[in-house]
Amino acid sequence: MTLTPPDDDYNEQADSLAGAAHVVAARIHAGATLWCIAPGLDDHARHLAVEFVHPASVGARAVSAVALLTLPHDDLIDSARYSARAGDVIVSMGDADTQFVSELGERSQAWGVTHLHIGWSAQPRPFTATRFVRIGEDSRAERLLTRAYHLLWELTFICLRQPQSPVASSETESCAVCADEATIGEVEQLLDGDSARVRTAFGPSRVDVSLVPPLKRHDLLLMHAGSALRVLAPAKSIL
Amino acid sequence: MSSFLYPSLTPQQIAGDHDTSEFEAELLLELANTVRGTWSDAVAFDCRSVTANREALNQAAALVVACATSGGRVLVMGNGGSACDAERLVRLLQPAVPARTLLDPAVFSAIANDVGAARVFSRQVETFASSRDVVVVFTTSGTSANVIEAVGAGKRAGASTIAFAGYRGATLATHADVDVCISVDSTSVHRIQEAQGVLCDAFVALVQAGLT
Repeated sequence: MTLTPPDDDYNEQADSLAGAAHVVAARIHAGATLWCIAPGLDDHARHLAVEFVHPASVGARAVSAVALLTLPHDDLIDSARYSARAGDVIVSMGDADTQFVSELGERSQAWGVTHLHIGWSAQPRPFTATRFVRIGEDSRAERLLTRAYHLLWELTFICLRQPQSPVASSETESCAVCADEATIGEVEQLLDGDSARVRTAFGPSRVDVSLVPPLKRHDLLLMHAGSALRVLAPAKSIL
Repeated sequence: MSSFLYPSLTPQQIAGDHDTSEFEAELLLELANTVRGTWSDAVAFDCRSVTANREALNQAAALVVACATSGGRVLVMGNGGSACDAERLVRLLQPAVPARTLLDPAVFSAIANDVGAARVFSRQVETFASSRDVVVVFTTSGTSANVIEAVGAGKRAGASTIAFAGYRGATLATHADVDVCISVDSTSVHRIQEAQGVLCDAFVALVQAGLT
């Protein structure tokens, strides 16, 4: 048996874990629930959840955390859609280079949910709109997941113990022209005429959809000043 | 302080797209330094743990290979994070080795409610285990009452028993009902579980080598 020390580049994880823990602490401080997802690796989803619900460290507070277990893809997106509320955090784990993770990152914005992914990717930054803790290039990094989320817990509780409460700043963007905020919404219901009811980070909203092609439920929209400007991702985009 | 030690880092690099106050910037640098120190120490500790358990890992793998080639099953269990480590081991062993956890929530809660938490594993081991099987338990403390009960039940059934235990193995290191104890010399639950993960990887590699 030959065993060699792993050649982990833990410097890469240090900065991203620190930033992620600060955001998670801020969300927890504001009452968030952590939704833990690891497609095909449910043991890690359960492990992360139990760390926060029942911390091994004596005296650490219990945090609302739930494992969402692996189901066929659409059902797992649906589980996240119907479980998470604005202000919550979804922590997904595993392969970052999947349509599932990309879609979760996009839709989290419409749900008002902070999305953090801990896992591996062949690219330094495989997608946008998501906080990413990269622990390797391929599935051999699976063995590092436990250390990464243990440290996420440890750092989160360092933040929560600080005299100054952690506060996460807004993650929405403003329009450079009129300073109004561009928001992302997910179609919940098509209404009469050229309007639809959409789910946004700020609650349900009625928007004008006359500028975009015919819509379906769960289409993801870029919206500005009460109008849908573009379809960012269609419903069932993975099919 | 941290910016002095790591001048190449800026708070903005760590905070990403978030605005940070001076207090937050200093905190973020401290957190990043904590990760660097902990991760580096833990990697070295993992390697020492594998080296220290080389013989135990070979013995444990031999038991599982014998079990798999004789039609036996591997029954794996633990509490909390260790239950998740048990799930992970089963995931890694399958499909080459017939392995499963004893963590079904209906069975688990029924026994916990009607009989008691200390019997949640041993009652299942009494039901399922035979002399061809291997009972594997995970415990960070090395003293969990229900896993100690489980190895006892396994031994009474004639099964082989393997323990992954922290705190140098604690009670299980020298327990008469444990055939092989793979111990981790730490009192930190997180570092123990991480080392046990690496030990599991080595263990599974040895099992797979033994089956080919």
